[in-house]
Amino acid sequence: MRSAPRMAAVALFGFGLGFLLSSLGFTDWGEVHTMFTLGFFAGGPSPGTLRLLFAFCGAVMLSLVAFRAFARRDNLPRRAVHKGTVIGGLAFGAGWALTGGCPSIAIVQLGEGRVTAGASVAGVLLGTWVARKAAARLRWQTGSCSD
Amino acid sequence: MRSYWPWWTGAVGLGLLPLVYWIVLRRPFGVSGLIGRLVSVGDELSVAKENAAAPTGEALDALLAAATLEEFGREAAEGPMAVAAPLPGRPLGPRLGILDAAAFVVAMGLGGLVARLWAGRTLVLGMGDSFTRSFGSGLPALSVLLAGGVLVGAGTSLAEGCSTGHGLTGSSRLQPGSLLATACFMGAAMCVSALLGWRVGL
Repeated sequence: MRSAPRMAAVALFGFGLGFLLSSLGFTDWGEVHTMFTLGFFAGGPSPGTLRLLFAFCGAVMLSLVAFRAFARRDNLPRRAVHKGTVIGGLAFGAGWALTGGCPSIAIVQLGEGRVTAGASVAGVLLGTWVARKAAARLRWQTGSCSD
Repeated sequence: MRSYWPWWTGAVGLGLLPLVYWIVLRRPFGVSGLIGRLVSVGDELSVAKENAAAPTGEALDALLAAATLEEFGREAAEGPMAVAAPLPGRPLGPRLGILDAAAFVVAMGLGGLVARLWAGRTLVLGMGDSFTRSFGSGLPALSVLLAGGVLVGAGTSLAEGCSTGHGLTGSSRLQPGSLLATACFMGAAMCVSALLGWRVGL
């Protein structure tokens, strides 16, 4: 695809993701906490309190079927376990619980006008920069197989 | 003000996004990678400069053929082995440009703004009541967000993926690294959230 249509397509995906995350309530710190605590601090697990978890797990299951049906033989990169998988995953999860945002959500929160999310976004950029420097020094592979 | 969309709209929207993104852009969908590209913009520009100076297309093919002939002889360069069988399925495309990554991030923020206005939700400057009950407001709250953000940025870089790259795209293709990373970040987030809930009773 040529560069201008490609950029337009990329922007459309970004817009769609931001719109969807905001509309679903993923940018709402309280909603995200209700998801992670399975509703136990909001009246117990119920379809109402497990809403975002259903959305996430449902998305993974639909995506699984979609890739099997339409991209079974495609050459997507493999994602192997490596040195940073566990420690990185644990750090990310702890950070998501504190800020209520994964990298996408923090940016969408800022876009919504939640100015305090600027601190989360600054942290994400800083953390990414530091970890990339550290990983290069430790000779851990990083960021090689995704955009 | 309208309430949040039902869960199945998220399952459908987020579930189809990785496949459609792959088919249109021929890249695995993942946001933390795009952010990483923006952070290391200096390296990106020097690589782009090198790539621009490097031979491409037929010039590159000719150079490779000459090198093959020199290294492995006529049989390898011109025999039946020289013609590579095409791989089945869609091939991986070229990486997105640095400006593509910037466009994605800006459009994503804009998507959040339009969604809020569309739903008629009022402007909220902070993270809401549950967050304030946990961490207060002002400088302490901002410190928590900054420190948490550093954990998110460093963690997703070390794990080479976030909730989109590992959680959606990798897990749904049953990739071992993605399944382990997703289990780790969901587990850690649940533990920390449970501690917060138990301590302050959200």
